[in-house]
Amino acid sequence: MIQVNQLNYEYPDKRALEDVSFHIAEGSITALVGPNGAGKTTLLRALSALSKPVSGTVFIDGKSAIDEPREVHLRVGYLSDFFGLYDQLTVEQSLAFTAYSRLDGDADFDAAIERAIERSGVNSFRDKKISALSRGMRQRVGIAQAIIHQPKVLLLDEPASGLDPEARHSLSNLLLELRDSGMTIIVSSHILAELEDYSTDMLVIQDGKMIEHRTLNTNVVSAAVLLKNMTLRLEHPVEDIVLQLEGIDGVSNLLQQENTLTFQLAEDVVTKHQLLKRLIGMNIPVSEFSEHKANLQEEYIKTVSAYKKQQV
Amino acid sequence: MNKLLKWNPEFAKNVWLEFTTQRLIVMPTLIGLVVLLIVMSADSGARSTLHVFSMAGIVVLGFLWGIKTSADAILDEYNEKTWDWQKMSVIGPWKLAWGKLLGSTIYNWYGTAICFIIYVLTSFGADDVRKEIQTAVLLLIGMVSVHGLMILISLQMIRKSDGRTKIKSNRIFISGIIAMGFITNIFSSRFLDSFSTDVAWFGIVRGNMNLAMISALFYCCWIIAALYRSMRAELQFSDAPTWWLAFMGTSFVFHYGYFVTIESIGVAGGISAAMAITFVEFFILLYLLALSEPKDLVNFRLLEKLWKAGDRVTFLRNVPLWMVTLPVVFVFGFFAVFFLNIAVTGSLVEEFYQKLNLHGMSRTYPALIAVFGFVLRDLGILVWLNLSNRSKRADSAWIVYLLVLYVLLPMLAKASDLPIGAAFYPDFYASKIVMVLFPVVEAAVVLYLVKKRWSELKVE
Repeated sequence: MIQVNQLNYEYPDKRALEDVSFHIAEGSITALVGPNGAGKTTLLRALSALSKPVSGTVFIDGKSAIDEPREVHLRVGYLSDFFGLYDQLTVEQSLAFTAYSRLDGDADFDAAIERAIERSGVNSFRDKKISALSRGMRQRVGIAQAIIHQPKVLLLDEPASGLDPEARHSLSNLLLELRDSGMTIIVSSHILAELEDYSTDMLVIQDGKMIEHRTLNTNVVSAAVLLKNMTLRLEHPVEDIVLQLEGIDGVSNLLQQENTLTFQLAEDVVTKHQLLKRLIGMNIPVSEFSEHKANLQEEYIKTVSAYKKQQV
Repeated sequence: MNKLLKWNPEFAKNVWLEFTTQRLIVMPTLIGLVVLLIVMSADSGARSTLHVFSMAGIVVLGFLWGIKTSADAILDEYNEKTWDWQKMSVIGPWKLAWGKLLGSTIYNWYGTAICFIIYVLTSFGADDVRKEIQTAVLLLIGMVSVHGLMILISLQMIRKSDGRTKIKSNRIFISGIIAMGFITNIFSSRFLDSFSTDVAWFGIVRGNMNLAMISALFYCCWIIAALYRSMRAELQFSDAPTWWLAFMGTSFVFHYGYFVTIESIGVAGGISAAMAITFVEFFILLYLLALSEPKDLVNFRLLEKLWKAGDRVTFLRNVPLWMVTLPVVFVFGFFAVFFLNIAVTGSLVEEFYQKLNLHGMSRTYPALIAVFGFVLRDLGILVWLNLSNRSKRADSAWIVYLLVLYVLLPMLAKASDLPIGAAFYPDFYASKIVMVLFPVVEAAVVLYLVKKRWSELKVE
């Protein structure tokens, strides 16, 4: 869905992006992480065809951000870290203006507005002026504006910055719902805890260079089905344990290393009950049964440390 | 409202933002109260007092306040980070230009329209009703021009900014006041009345007021065209500078129209005079554009890369207008002098040049070379400053340099009785060699310094 090759972006006083190349698959949620000033916003603006790079190529859904920026704008929703809202308009007026300025003349504007209102959960305050909204509400309006034209790609720059825990949780769910509806999402942040709940991929950027891009050992499947990474420790190795557990619905990606078994487990009570019942029935010598959370922070620190060692 | 949104979303949004119920009531109430006060307190001259008041209303609401509002139209969006939405919208540049031009100033137009109605009504009873109304129409055209100019300048400012710092509209406001002074003077019938000319533009348009009207319309149309082109650039459409060249070409034709019917100067004299006026016009614009357009290292590198790759089309789409204007200004200057030298002897044009000590083939070309030399020197200094590590203040430093070079040093030289004026400005009274030597050497030195700095620069 997103293809970036040898992207370079320069400001008069520094190079903001240097030979950045990556490919992002459709339907993923990529955490764009890096310290302040690493080049995250510059990269997102280049992907949105808002800023022209010095060299390199950016393709969004097959359209070049450099040669066909207007085509890319049709395919991308972009929310800056300031949200960019007109304080004196009501939520509904904001969305009406955005709908009429982002959809072509034949579109069903009213339907688009209602859809955006419903998906972003702004219905309860649709008549309020933007200036009267909390930061969490403003962020939802911002997202509603960004998705009003049903873009294939949604780019969010520090969306959760300054939000309270409840608003962050609700943002996580919203992003997963949008992902489920087919959007490919990139979310930038320098606060990794924000991204952990919903990211499927991680793209690390430091000093304008991309130093890591990979799929996370993730527990995110969709808003409806969450998978947990589980660890099962045994008193001694058991032969064929993988084969014996493979048939259970909701258990996947089984991997045995001596007396440790890792797998993914659907987060519902019935599946867990079935698994425990099978383990007891098979008389498996279990010494530990625990959840192992994918820790974005750990992954990031590892990557950055390796990069810094390389630099030395 | 949906129809308005569909017609022009930007205009509709501005109507929402500007027209609250309270504001809709306040404006006519205030104007009405002042009108009532004038009518009640003036014994016999209420009509003329109201006439003057309404004119003042147009100037204050339409011009002064309108300059501020139009200057803020883009800058507020930029500062509040809403401009990105606009740039990604499907609104075309033509709609967006008009939506901004008329929409952002809709409240000013509301107040101005009320004053305009009072002005027209109170014109009846004046000595020359037609002239009074024409003056008001000229002011309205001037309003559109100044508002358009403000939006254009603010678009230039955001193009030059780093995207991180907020831009204040104060500086634009000042340039708007200057532009307003210029436009209202030019368009004012009273100003034109001080000249007793018998000019007919291309033999068609006669009379000072009509000539003022056609000038106002000419520049207003080009300001709107420039606004459209600037919006295109903001919305990421890339264009070669064809419209700018067309503006330069039509400016010459427009100016030539004033000389067509003046038989005493002949065709060559007319062309020379029109070329000279166009030269001066774009000479000023060249310096203003050089000051207002981005000149950072990244742009220059991109241009170098495109030029070396032989991609002339993309090069022309990215080349700043001051670089396009420079050679064309030289061409206008050259042909102004060329046609002067073949113009009818004793013509008005030649007399004008004689007063400048520039008559005859032998002095006009050296004078032209001197002007070109100083232009290259000045622009060279500007580029040299912008290529430095402290390029943020380069443009303001350039203005200081120019003040020192054109004002302070010549005054010092004069105070010291040193005959070296030609070292600082085109000195048409110096000998031909001295007139040419100083600017050419200075330009060569500055251009060498630019080349040296360019080759030394490395991106961090």
